[in-house]
Amino acid sequence: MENALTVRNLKTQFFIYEGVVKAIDDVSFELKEGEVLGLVGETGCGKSVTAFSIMKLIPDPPGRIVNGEVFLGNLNIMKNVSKEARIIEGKRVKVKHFYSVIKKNEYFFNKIRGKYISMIFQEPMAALNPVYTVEDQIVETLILHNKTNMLKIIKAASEHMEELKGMLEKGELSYSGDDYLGKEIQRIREGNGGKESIKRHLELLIEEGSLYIRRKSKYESMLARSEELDKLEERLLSNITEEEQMEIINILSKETRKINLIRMSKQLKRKVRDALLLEARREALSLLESVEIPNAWGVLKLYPHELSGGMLQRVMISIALANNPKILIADEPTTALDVTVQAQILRLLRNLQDNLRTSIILITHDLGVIAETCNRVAVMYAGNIVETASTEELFMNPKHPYTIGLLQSIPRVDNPNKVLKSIAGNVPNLLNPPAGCRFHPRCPFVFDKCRVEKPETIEVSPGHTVACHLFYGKGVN
Amino acid sequence: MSTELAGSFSRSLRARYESFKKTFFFFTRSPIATIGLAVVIFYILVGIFGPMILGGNPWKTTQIFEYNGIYIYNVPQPPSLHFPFGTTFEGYNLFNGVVKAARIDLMVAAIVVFSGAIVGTLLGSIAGYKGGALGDVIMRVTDVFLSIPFLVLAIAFLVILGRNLTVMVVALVLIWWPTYTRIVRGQVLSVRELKYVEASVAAGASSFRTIFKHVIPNSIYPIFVQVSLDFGNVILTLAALFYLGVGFAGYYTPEWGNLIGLAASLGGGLPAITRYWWTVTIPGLAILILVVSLNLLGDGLRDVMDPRLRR
Amino acid sequence: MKMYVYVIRRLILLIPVIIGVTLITFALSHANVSLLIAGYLGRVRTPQHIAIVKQELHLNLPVYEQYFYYLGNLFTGNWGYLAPTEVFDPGTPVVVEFQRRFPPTLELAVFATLLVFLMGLPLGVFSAVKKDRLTDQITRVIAMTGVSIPVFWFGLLILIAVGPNSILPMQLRLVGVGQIPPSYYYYPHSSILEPWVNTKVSGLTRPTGFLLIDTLLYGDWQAFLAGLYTLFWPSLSVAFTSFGLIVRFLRSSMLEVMNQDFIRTARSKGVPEYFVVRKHVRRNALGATTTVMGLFFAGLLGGVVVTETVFGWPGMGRWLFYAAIGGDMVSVMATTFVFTIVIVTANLIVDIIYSYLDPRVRLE
Repeated sequence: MENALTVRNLKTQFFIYEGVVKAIDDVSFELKEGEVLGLVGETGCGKSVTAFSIMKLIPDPPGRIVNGEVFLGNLNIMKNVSKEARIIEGKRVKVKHFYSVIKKNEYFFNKIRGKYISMIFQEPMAALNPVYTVEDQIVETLILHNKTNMLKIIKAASEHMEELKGMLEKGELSYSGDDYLGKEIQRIREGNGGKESIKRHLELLIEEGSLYIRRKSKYESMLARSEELDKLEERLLSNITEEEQMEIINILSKETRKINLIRMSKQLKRKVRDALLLEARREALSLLESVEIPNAWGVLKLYPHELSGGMLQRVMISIALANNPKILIADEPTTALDVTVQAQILRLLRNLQDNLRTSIILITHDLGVIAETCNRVAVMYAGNIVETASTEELFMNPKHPYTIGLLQSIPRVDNPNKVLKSIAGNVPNLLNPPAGCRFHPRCPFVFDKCRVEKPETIEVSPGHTVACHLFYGKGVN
Repeated sequence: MSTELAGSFSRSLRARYESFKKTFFFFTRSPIATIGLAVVIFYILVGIFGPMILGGNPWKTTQIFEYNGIYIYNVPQPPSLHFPFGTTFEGYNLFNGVVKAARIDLMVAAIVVFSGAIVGTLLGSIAGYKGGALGDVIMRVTDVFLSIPFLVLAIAFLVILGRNLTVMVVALVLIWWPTYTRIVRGQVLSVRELKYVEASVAAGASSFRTIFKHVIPNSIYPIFVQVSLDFGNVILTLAALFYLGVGFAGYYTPEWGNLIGLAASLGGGLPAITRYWWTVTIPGLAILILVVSLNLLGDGLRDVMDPRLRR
Repeated sequence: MKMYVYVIRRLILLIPVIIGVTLITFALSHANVSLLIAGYLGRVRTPQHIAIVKQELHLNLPVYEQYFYYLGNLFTGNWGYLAPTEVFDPGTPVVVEFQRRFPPTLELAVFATLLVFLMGLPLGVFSAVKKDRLTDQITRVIAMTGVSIPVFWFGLLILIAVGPNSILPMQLRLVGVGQIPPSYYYYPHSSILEPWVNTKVSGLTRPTGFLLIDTLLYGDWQAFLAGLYTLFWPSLSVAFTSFGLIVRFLRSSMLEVMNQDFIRTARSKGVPEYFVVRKHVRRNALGATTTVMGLFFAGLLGGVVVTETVFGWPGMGRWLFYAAIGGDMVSVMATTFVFTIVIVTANLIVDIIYSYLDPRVRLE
């Protein structure tokens, strides 16, 4: 079984006035399907930069993904990234951009972001656009990536109008068909909404159905076109030639241009007469219910500043999971929240993951969160991954001096020792990182080789890798 | 104790000097801003030394009635070796006028801008620090003054209170002080909110001194930027007022706008201006170059002070 | 909160500002008493008349009482009479003259503002999106040059280029009365108010006073187009010298917004870049632009005054000019007051638009 995500030798640098910040240096790790991988490290170690690099969200001046491969399944999405710019060494390093390549890559990544890989961020209040409603921001991602599914539901609804109306009258979900509508009804049943919400769902479905019937030809052609585009997209994400890739990207980007997100915003504010938008709205309702937001229908119309941090984080999670992505990257999702809310959010993430089989990369600096939520852990220091292992193995059997230091520095209730242990020294400046192993200035076990040569990653037991010269020659293979 | 304080004072002075040197260095990296600075300095030098070198009354443009036996009083001469910028109507030597105008324009602008900055800063500090009713009143007053178009208020002043230098300066200062009040008040308010200021006040430090210790360094930079931009605007307004004919003194006052106005009013309108285009173009260029340089200087300062916009 | 509540609150906040303005105009008009009296004398100037006027203006009463009478005069439209030094119709009541002069100024100001937005908004957006690249640098240079040019000089240059004496062909010139296309907007001393081309329309009165609207109302297309052309050049003069402020501000506020977290979220959803800019960045950035609007309008109206003088546009600016030269104080004060009210109103409109764009503001 292939990995959900494989990162090999990822290298990201920032070209600023003072020099080149070597933020990420040869980072490699794997994310298996259905697992939660924790990425842990101090502030400034490069965890967020890694996440942004995977999604290619690094701001282009000044940053650049210089090297590396990122395999989504077995497709290398970073194939053309190194061609985007040329780095000219000199007294001052200059970066020359090739804007046409960048543009093409952007179109490609726009298909991936939000649909195959999505992300949630640290400060929910700052991460949502303050001038648009919650509904608008959820519907945006649905319209961009999920048309086919929604159109199919509408079509199925239009074919079973009588049953829907019956269900509405009786107030219960008594549908037993096996098609799209059936799956959706099942979903509503499993959702957390009460009678009110069931009524809403049914009303919306009925309205959509009737709108579909009224403009049948328009929606049928929309559906057909959407399915065509889906096939093209699937083709794009397999290993094809460059020319074909260019062709498909051209077609797809032209299609995306036709979606007018601004008009969509305006329509959402008034009475919606488009079945697709209604379905998007209904889907948004489901999503909010699935993240346990009370009074979901009311929340849809609110603006971000009218909600609390915990609620906003749930909204963000719902946006990220709206299109059932294969991979979710959670960048310190609970750091800005208080502890009780933190627990709720983590539990929510685990539940959603169980239901949807999404693979999650959970970035945090809190080892407690790691212990509770993650299957495997990767420890990062100064732009390198120093150790990866399963959670249990890492806590029981840490190998890398940095990991050991980290674990030792956690204050424990059952330890009468009043002095807190910490790791001596400071996080290095990534403009001029230390030579050899980047941890060597602070390592209590340092020896000569560490100062000169960069350690390679050694597998000390199945599934447990360390990047440290202490284990040279002690690898399993 | 006192040596500690003295040591820390000189250390902070040195730190300021270091940061100033760094700022200056960053500034000179931008060639455009440096050009701006150079041109402005050039104008200042011309203003200080020009009238002295040329001789004659610095408040009057030299009038030339005939040259080489030809009566040139009413016919502007094109630029030539003897009249580097030519002459304008009524025989005024344009070069003479433009150079002398540098001093007058710069001087008046300097007085206006600095007075406005000082008054505005004071009022802004009061408004921000004291807050409350007084602060509100001051801000309302700035609102009122910012609602009156610049030129119009100056014209009104000059018509009603007479056309002399004092009135002009007072009118212009009244127009320009509100911007500084807004800036400084904003700074004071934001500094008050800073956590460490709250902490130090809670620990017993006098809030007045703490706030100002932090407000002044933080607001000096935006004030500098604003000053260099306002300089340009004041000069433009001055020129406009003189062109319209409401400036102080008479026809022969060397002032760039006045010189342009001479052509328009004394020359008899558009046909004359089209034929003797240098009478209008040259003083205008003098203004344009100075104001552009001032703006470049201001932009350069702003780019340097704002770390986000640094390349 | 709802929009209309916010609007009402804003209107209430307006009152102190207007009071402040009237205080200033009051102080100014009563600063030079002889000019004040001259303003209300009208055509008759005997000593008895002067005494009567003094009585009317309550000049013997203490200052604060005078202020109330002043307010009363202001609101009843008793703004004095044009001085005998006026070039046109001396002696008419100021309010009447004002009705004749206001529309052209409004026309010019509105057209100039439109031009500013047309030129400034796209340039500001481009400049921010393509930061530090060639487009950005060029735009910034143009914008900065624009703001540094003296308005009157620019106007004169335009007139040299397209005025009656220019080297351009006849059709492209701004010409004076009696030629085709006719325009009374050039000759400063003309009081002939006929911009019509169509001879059938000749001799009719001007219903609204706006050149463009009147010509449209009468269906006189040629005159409409000629009017558009005539209106364009002075508006360009005003617009070019003010749009730099908008460009510079829009650029910096867009850059600030583009660094915010929620833009990153939008990108992470797969929103294409042009929509990130158009939908997410622009609205937030435009909202911030409103803070600079007040300053902008103040500068714009100053430019309008000067441009009217240069181009001979028969609006309040030119009226102000002749009044200033002739020492006609009541006209000067009246125009000052009206200009201020215009700016205050414009600020109000802009604030309301801002609260529509950014719902957070309504909470305050």
